[in-house]
Amino acid sequence: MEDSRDDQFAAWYAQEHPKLLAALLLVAGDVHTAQEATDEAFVRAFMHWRRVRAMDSPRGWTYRVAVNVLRRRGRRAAMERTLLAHQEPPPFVPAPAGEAWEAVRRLPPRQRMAIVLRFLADLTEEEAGRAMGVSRTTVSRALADARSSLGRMLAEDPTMEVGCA
Amino acid sequence: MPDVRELMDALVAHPAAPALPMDEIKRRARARRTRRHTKLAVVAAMALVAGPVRWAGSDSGTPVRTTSSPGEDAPEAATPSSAASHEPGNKGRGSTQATAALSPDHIGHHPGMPPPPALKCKRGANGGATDVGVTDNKVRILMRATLDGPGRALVEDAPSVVKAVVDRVNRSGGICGRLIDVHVVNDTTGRTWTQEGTGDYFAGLVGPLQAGFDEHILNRTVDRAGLPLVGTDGLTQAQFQSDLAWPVGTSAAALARIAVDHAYRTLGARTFAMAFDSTDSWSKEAEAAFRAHVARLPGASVRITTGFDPREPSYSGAAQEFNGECRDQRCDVVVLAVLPNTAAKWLKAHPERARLQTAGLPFLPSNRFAEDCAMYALTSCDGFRVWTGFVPKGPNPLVASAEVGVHVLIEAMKRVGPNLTRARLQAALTEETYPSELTNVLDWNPVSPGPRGGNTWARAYDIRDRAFHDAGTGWVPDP
Repeated sequence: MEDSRDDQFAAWYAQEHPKLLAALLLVAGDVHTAQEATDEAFVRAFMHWRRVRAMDSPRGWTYRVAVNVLRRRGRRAAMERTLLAHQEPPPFVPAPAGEAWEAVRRLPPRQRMAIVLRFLADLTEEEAGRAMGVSRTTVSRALADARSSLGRMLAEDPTMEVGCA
Repeated sequence: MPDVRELMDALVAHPAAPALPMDEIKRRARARRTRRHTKLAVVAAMALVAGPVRWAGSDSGTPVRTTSSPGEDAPEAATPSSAASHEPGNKGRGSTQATAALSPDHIGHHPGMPPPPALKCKRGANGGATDVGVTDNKVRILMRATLDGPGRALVEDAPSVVKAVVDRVNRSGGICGRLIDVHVVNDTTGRTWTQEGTGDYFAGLVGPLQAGFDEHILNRTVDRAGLPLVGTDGLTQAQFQSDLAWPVGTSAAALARIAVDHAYRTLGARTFAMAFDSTDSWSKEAEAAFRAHVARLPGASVRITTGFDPREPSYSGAAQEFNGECRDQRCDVVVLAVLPNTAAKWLKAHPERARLQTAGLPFLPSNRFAEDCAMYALTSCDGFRVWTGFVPKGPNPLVASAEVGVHVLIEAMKRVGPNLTRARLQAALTEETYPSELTNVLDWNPVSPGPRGGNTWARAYDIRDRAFHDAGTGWVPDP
C-alpha cells in the first residue's frame, strides 16, 4: 500500500516537476531560487500526499506552496542584503528559458503570474485565480493586459537604431 | 502576439534543472519530520531538567476580563501512554508537559522506547502540551483590545463578540478536548507585543484599531515574539508584512482602488477627488493608492486630494481648498477616507457634492451615520456609498474583524487537530482558504511575490432613506 502510494506520487512528480520549475523560473527570474522552491514544494507535497492527492487540484496546491516559499525566501534574502550590505546576485536564467524570460520579465508581477499559470502550468482561470488569491475576472483581465503588453513590447524592436537628434 | 506558449513548451521539454530523485525527496521529508521531533524532544528534556515550571504572568497592561477560562487550577489529565516518568501527585505543568511532549504521534520512534500511539482528537489522547500555551485541556489565547482613547467607542464591543463565539465552542467541548481560554488585555505599554509578554500564550487575537501594531511589525517585535496573530483589521499595509500576522480586513489601499475602479467602469467617472485624514497611516495609504490607481486608468484624473487633521476645530480651510477644485460638479467621484465622526464634521463644512458619487471607505456603513448624514450635509445623503471588506452585521463593521478573526483562528485550530503547534497553525492559516459569513473567502497565500493577500475584496452599501442598503455590487476584487 505504501509502495503504490509512493509510486503514484513518483509518477505525478515526474509529470509535474518540469512545469512547476519552468513556472517558478519565469516568476523568480533565477534558476537556483526556482529550483529550491520547486524542490521544497514537492517535498511538502510528498509529506502530505494522502491529503494532497485527494484534492480537486493537487497541482494548484503545490503551486501555491511553491510560490509562498519563493516569496518568503525572497523577503529573507532582501532582509539579509539590507542587513549585511550584500550585493544582489545577478539572476541566472539558463537556456532554453532565455527567450521566454526576455518575453515575460518586463510584465508586471500579476500579469506575468497569470500568463505563467494559465499557459505554462495549464491551470484553468478559476484555478489560477485561487492560486493567486484573486477572482477569475481579474485573471482574465490580467491575461488580456499581458497579451497586449507582450505585443507592444515586441513591436518596440530593440534592434532598431534611433538616430541621435 | 508572439506564441509565448511555444516558448514555454520548450522550457518544459528542456528543464533548466533536474528533478530530485525520489530517494532524495523521501530523505528530505524524513529530515523535516525528524527536525520537528528533535525540537519537541529538546523541549521535553529541558522541562525534565527544569522541573515543574510556573509560567510567569504575561499581561502587563490592565487585565480587563478573562473569558471562558476553564479554571486555572484544573488538574492536568495524565497521559496514559506517556513514555517518560511521571511523578504521582505532581500536577505541575512542567512534568505534565514533559510527559505529554513525548507522546504526540509525530515523535519519531527512538530505539528502546515503545512506539507512541496515534493522537486522537479528545482529552487524554490529544498529546497534551504540544506547544507553548497548550495543555491537555486548555489552549491559551491572548486578545489585545483598545479599551481607551478616542477609538474606544468604535471597538469596545470586540471582546464580548469574541467571548460569545468562544463560549459556543467551549460549550460543545472545545477543540480536541481543549477549552479555549481567551485572556483580554488593554495593553497601553506595548509589553504584550514582546516575547516576554506573549510567552505564555499559544496564539493571539488582535482587536481592531490596535494602537502600535504597525510599529511592532515594522520593527520586528511581532516576529521576535513568535506569537501567531489572527484577526487584525488589515487597514494598513504593514499588517501584511509579517509571516506571523493574518489580517482579516481589506486594506484601505485596496478599498480606495476598488472605489475608484468600480466608479470608473460602471459610472463612467473620469474626475476624482479625495478628502483624507493627514495624520493616520491607513488614510494616507488610501490616498497614495487612490492617486496611483487613477493614474493607471485611461482618461481619468485626480482633481484634488485634501488632507486635514481631524483634531482641528474646523475643516473650513480644507473644504475651501477642496471646493475650489470641485465646484460646479467638476469632480465626478469624491472618496472620503476618514473616521465617521470626522466624516460628519467634514460634511458640516459643506464641501462641494460630487457629480456622480460620494464614496466612503471603512467605518461608515453604520445607520447612525446614515441618520446623521442628512442633518450634517443639510441635504439628502441618498446615494452616499461606502465600501467595506465586511458584511455590516452590527452597528460597526470594525467589530466584525474581531468576530471573523476568532472564527478563523478556531477553524484553523480545528484543522490542525490534536497535534496543536504554532508551526502547524501557521501552515494551516497560510496554505488553506477560509470561507466566512462576514467576508469573501480569505486566502493568505497569494501566488504573486509580495505582501500577503488575506481579504482582497469589498462590497458597497448605499444610503437610502437614512439607512444603508446593499448596493448590489457583490464582492468586488482589488484590481
